[in-house]
Amino acid sequence: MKMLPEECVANILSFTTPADTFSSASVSPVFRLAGDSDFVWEKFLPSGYSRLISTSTHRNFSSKKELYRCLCESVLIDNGRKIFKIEKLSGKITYVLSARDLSITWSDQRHYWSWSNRSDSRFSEAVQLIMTDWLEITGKIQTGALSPNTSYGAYLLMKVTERAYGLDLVPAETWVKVGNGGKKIHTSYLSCLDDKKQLMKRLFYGHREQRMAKKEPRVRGDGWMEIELGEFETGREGEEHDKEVVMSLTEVKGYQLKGGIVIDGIEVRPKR
Amino acid sequence: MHCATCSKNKLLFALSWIQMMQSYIWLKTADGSIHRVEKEIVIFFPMICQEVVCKGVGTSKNHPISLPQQVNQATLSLILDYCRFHLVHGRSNKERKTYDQKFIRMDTTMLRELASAADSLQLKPLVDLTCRTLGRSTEGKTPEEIREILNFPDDLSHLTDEERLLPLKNTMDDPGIRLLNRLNAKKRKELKEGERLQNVEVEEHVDERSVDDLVSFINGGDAKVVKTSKGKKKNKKKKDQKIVSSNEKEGAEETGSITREVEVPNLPSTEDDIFTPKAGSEDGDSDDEMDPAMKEMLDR
Repeated sequence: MKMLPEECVANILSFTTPADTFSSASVSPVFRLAGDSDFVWEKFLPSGYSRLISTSTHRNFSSKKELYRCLCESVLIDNGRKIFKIEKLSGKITYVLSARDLSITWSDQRHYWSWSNRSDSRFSEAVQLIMTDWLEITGKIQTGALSPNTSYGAYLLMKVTERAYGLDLVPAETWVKVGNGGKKIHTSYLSCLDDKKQLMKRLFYGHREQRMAKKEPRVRGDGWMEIELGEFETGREGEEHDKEVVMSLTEVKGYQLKGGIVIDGIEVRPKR
Repeated sequence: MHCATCSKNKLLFALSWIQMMQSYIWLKTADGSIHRVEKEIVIFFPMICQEVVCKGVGTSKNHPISLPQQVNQATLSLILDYCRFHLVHGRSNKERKTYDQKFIRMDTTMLRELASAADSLQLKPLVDLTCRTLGRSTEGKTPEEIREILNFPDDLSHLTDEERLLPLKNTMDDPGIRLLNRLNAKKRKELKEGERLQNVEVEEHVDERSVDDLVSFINGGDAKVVKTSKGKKKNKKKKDQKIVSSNEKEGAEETGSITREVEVPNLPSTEDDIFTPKAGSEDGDSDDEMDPAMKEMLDR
């Protein structure tokens, strides 16, 4: 029985996913060869990858597959202000904007915000809130920099220090806006609510303050927490113009002073 | 006189004019059958164009163009249908897309043959269409399922026994591949046992010597063969069992692009694999294997 030639197999694989290509190596020797070919991995690499790697690393890659693997590790780009990464199984792009890359109101004021080099940060600097009554954090990214046809979620990477205060009284507002589209506003508390406090609040306020609609920060695996700012979709490749995505968290309605959050950045990653 | 040459020239001219105006090309498929095809449909196929223009083949029934062996009657007619549709100008993209969706509905055997045929004729749009469909049908499937869909035999027969059992790279930590590697590792060990017993010429007998005896034997003389028989089953601590990796690469022919990493399996072993020298093979290696293995025995 005639089998498909290697070029055909490579062509077929290029229409599947990186995950399929990795696991299909055991089908047959032809598959293994085809699965290693540059033709296939060129298709899986994000468009514009050559521009990215030339600015961040000067390594010579022996194959596109190797390059793909390299991009699966986080790569610092844009003068260390952003992190670029592709998900190994799907080939989708993830970005992390550093705190320096965001616009944080009053972050240049020493008395309100403090910048420092933290060992637990993924960047060279993270910023800590000392005190403010006006908390406003905004990040921007172009849809063209991300993978097309994908649902993305934006997450604020943060930590709450021991001496934090004023964070759990009033929930913050979060929203994401793409281009000229509308923005859907969600709310989230800035810190996880204390059980005792929750109980007291329920006693005093009864059903008036329903916590259901308001989220809390979620613990991540890397020692940080994240607050979901919102989600958005990227359109088809090339079809629409590059749109600007604005992601924001504000807590300006409570008049209390707050302090003690550390911001590492905003992560934009594909949603399952 | 004048009239004769004049009319001869006219005749010649007429003949070549007729030939140029030939609107059919003759093709022969692998099974020997000959087909007459409209010229405008196939003339842009790279190989057909070359045959007609450069070699002058294909313009008559007696000199048909031989198509590559991947193209049989059925696939040829499918290809011609496809080309006939798409070569018509003025069709909208939507029409073409709808046609493609309908066209591609066939069983996978046919799809495979069509992909092969289109590939041999270098018809990129059709190759892409068929491969995209095949890709969609293999997405997310296990290797076994893929083998079935694309009709690949479980064919590692061009490799030697040993090579077939070498572990596959498992970068995605696919459980199927993990299991395959484990099974292969076990088989490798069994094969090694079998081979060693065949090669060793000394009579097989149960090794009754104590640990100390064995140690002194080994340290005293040649650090060579201390054999155990297959019947003896020592239960070892599984953790740090090191299997010979260098010997396994013997006789393996590998093409440049196939690389294999040798895993250290973590299986509990019911067979005794401490000493793995082969009589007649590199003794230098035996020394290396001996030491860690000896240490383990002594640790007990």
